[in-house]
Amino acid sequence: MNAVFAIAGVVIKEIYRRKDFYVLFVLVALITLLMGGASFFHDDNIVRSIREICLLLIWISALVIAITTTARQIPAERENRTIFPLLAKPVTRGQVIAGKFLGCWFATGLALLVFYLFLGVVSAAREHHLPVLNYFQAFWLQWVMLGVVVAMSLLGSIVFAAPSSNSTICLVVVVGILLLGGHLNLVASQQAPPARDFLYTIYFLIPHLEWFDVRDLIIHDRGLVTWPACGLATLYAAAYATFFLFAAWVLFRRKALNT
Amino acid sequence: MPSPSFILALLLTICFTLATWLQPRAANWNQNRARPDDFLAIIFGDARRLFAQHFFVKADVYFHSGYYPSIFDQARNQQTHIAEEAGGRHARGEGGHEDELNFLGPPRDWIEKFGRNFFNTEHTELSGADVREILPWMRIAAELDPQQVDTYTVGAFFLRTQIKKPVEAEQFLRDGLRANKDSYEILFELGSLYDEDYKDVNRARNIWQLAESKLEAQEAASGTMDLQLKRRILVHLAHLEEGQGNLNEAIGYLQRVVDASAANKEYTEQQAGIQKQIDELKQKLAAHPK
Repeated sequence: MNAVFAIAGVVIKEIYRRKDFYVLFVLVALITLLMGGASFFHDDNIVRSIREICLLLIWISALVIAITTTARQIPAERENRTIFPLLAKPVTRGQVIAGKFLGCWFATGLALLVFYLFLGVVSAAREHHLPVLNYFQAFWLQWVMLGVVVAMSLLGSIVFAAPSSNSTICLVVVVGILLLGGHLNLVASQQAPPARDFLYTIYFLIPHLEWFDVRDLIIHDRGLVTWPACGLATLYAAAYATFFLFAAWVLFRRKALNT
Repeated sequence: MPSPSFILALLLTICFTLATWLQPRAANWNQNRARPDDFLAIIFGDARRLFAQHFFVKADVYFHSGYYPSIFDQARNQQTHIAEEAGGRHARGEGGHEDELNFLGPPRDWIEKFGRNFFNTEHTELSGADVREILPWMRIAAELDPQQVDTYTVGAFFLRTQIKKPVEAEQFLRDGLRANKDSYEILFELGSLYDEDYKDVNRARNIWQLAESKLEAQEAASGTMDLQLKRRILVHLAHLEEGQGNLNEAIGYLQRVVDASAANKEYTEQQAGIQKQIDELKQKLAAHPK
């Protein structure tokens, strides 16, 4: 387990040395503050649109950080040939996969925490109150969802040749699931049999990442998700993340490392 | 080879000559080009109308606190609910609005059932000062597509009735009127603002009469009739005249409502009510002849 955490630690250090997060954070802050500075019909108490813009930017930034960071982990190790001394420690390939996953997931979580702190400060400054539990739930569900995305991206980094193609494909798949995943059953029910069965199969196979998007509840002050539902969603995400990690380990175990 | 200072002086002279020659042409050129306020039109082109519609719908989503059908389960209703609300075009008691927003239905499978824990499944509408949350999207929609009349009428309606900002509502309507000079919808809303908020009966009357003349001019030009708004303008004018004690004028306006919608079966029930109002006014007039 120490080896796993050691690898994770290296990944976290690598991420905070890179400029990606800082650039994205400055962009999010700048756009949110600009939006917050705008006055509509001389009303300074408008807050929901600012929350919406800020949350949208947080979601985009978190996805970009999670996917791009994870996608380059194993290809970079292979390209720099640092994977050989790493595996000679001795560290098993399973530990490499687990370490890389934990590192990317924790690093994404840290970035997400900073984003949510900023959102909380902006929102509280405007509204003079902060529903901490609601923000915590939104943060937790998004982080859990990013766990699935990181695991998926790690699997992609073993399947696809280059980090760029992996990042693009993962981003398209994740955004596709977020936008359409929840509606596939409705679309399927309106199709003729072969297409209907195909769509239903996809619907029941894909991880329903859209569950974890509770932005609307935060934006419109609609209260908390029930804690049992939150717990079940966490288990659901853990199951998919485990599946992707296991698949990544199986493929990585058989993969020739010399490029 | 001439000296560098001579070349420099020559280049400076050429620059100055060019500048004086180009200046009047550039000024003329700028007049023909888009002004800075057309910046969005240059950037987005016609796509800005799509974005404007998106933001108008976004205001509607905010009005319902996020409880809103997606494009997949959206009813084929062209008008957004918020516009109906502002226009008073649906009757709550009839349940049409409620039925329309009961779009979720029973869950089709366990995924859908469990997924409903994570979004708003309760239909509520913003009221009072909370309606302010729709305003940014209204303003953005108006900036993107100044020709979308609904944006101004709906925005102004909520500004004056819920948020109690008639001055801002008037400003917004006048912005809309500058972009849509012949819009009887905006004029009608402006008249309502003068009547209900400023209590300026004379200006309200003038504006509603202008709205009616614009509506009739457009009817004559296009051959189609916006009977619903025509009825509303005439009824408002009738009530205004009745309030001012001009019963003959009030009867005249109400009679025109009856005549305008005589051929339309949709208004059969309302016709009886209008006729009853005419009879009452006639009795009042007979009791107190001027």
